[in-house]
Amino acid sequence: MLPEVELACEVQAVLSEKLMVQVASPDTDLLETGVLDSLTAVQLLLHLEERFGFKVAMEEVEIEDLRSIRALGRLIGRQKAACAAV
Amino acid sequence: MKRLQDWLTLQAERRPEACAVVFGRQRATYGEIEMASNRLARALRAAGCRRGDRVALLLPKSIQALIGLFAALKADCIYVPLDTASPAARLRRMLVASDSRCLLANGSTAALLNEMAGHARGSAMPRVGWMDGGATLHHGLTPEFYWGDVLRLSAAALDSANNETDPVHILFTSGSTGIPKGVVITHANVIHFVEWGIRYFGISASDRISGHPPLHFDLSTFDIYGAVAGGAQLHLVPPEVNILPHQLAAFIRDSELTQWFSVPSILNHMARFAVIRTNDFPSLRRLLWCGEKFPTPALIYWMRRLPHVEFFNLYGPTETTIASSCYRVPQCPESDTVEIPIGEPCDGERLLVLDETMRPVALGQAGDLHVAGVGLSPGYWRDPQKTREVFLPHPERPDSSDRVYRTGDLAKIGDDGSIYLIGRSDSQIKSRGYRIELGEIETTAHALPEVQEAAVVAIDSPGLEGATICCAFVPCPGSELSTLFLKKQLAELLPHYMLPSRWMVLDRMPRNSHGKVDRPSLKEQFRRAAVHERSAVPVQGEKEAAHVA
Repeated sequence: MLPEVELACEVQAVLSEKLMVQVASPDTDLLETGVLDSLTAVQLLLHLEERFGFKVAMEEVEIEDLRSIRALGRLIGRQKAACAAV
Repeated sequence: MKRLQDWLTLQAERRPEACAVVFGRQRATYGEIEMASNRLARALRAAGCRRGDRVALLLPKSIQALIGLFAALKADCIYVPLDTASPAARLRRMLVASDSRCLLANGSTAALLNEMAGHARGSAMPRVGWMDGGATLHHGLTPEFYWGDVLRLSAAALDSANNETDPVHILFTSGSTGIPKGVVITHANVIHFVEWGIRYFGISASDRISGHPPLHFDLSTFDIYGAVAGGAQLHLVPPEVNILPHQLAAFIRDSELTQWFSVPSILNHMARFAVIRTNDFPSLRRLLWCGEKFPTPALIYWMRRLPHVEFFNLYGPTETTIASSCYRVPQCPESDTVEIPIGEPCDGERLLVLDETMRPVALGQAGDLHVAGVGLSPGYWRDPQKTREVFLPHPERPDSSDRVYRTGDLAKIGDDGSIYLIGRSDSQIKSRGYRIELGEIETTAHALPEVQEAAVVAIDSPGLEGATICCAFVPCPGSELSTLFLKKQLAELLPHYMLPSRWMVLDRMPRNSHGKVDRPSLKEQFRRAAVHERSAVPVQGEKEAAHVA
């Protein structure tokens, strides 16, 4: 599994390439700053699935997982591990 | 009932201890809202607010914001709900346009207010009422009063002079020339609709009603005043719950809602992620939507799972107050291609499908949909020209003062006598329930110094958006304008829901034989790019297919 920092970099890359958003830091609050809303959150998850080649288990996603790039990195790490275990 | 605030006072007299609003862990009774809004109305008057003055609400949807709007009405004022998710530069323009005497804000919007004051460039800011403790404000802003001051004022009822013809609020919507338009809505406009709604849906004190849209969205008017008039509980949906469809479903379930009212894109979103169980939401009695077309496959998904619920399609632009017509879906549609009509006019309303000469069209023919009746706004705030353009003399009674509103929607009357929407006659689109003038995005992009020319078009989207906003632009010679940078600049001027999601950098704009931008060709190019992308990404394609199925 990629280390957390690398995952966060990948998330940043997806945000800028696919959603055309630049985020100041891995800890910037994506929900409070309005980067993610009901549409962009789902779009981002679909792009992440595509980039990392796994299926997000939506029912296991909590709002805090979308809070920042760092949190998204952790979510991907967790879900990828769960996919690999199946 | 003559004024909206009288409903609150009536409930507070009858059932002061009854729960009026729930927001997360906070709850407030009718008595508490009544007393707090009386106090705040006194503070507004002391701050110089008089009958007809505007009070801007720079407050996210909350119990405090509801207290703010009732206080504004009790102080004989007109409230202007501002979208706290919009950029400061745009809000500042609305604030200037509304010429507000006072603005209510709190800690959660302090940074936004500071930024708005920074954009003021010498023009006066309204007096600020601070809805919590200390405030760190810049640019010479000092609150006129704090919440602590409000609490020291009398909670007794105060005499209001406003009547049914006074405006309640000004709701700003996207404007095609780049400047948002302020729609003025009166007490009578809202009262007519709410009284109809209470009768038609049978809303009572046993109801638990959703408060899903933000306050600057006119659907929220029915949630708030429908609940208060019926003595029901209003359950405000926390914004973070909105992001994940399974959490939204859990909210409806756990709050034991009896009425859910939202835009179709949200219902569609929940259907796509299959978050509704069979016989889910046992307390739910009715589900209402308005603002755009609800795709029939998603409606079938909902109706099959919730046989105990009644489904209603409401139709009406902001200018005609919440909704002008309503259709109760009698049974689950038999196939995905069944069209859902917009239904019968609500009491006191009329829908007319007219041709260019303002005569009724024949059955099955497309025409411009016009609305007449008690819901019609007096017009746009301080903009008689725009008002004249769309609020027209009634074609059947040209000598009277009766008017019709030209909605810009194209419609036809079906064989069954029902009215069906078929599109728009202009470049306005609906995306996630938001009404967007593509001209506003285009004008804003065009005004940026690095942009030589910009064109904005919309293409149909299979997903949640309804329509995908696409921007083609030609950078100024010598400028190294990237899409990323352009989007960042636009994000400082437009709300997020108006930002294009597809982009194209061009050396020059395609033009037709009249020298005008060739929009059909641009749309085709964006469509082809979208199809190409979907076919190149099988994982996502399969996923989408699975969700739709």
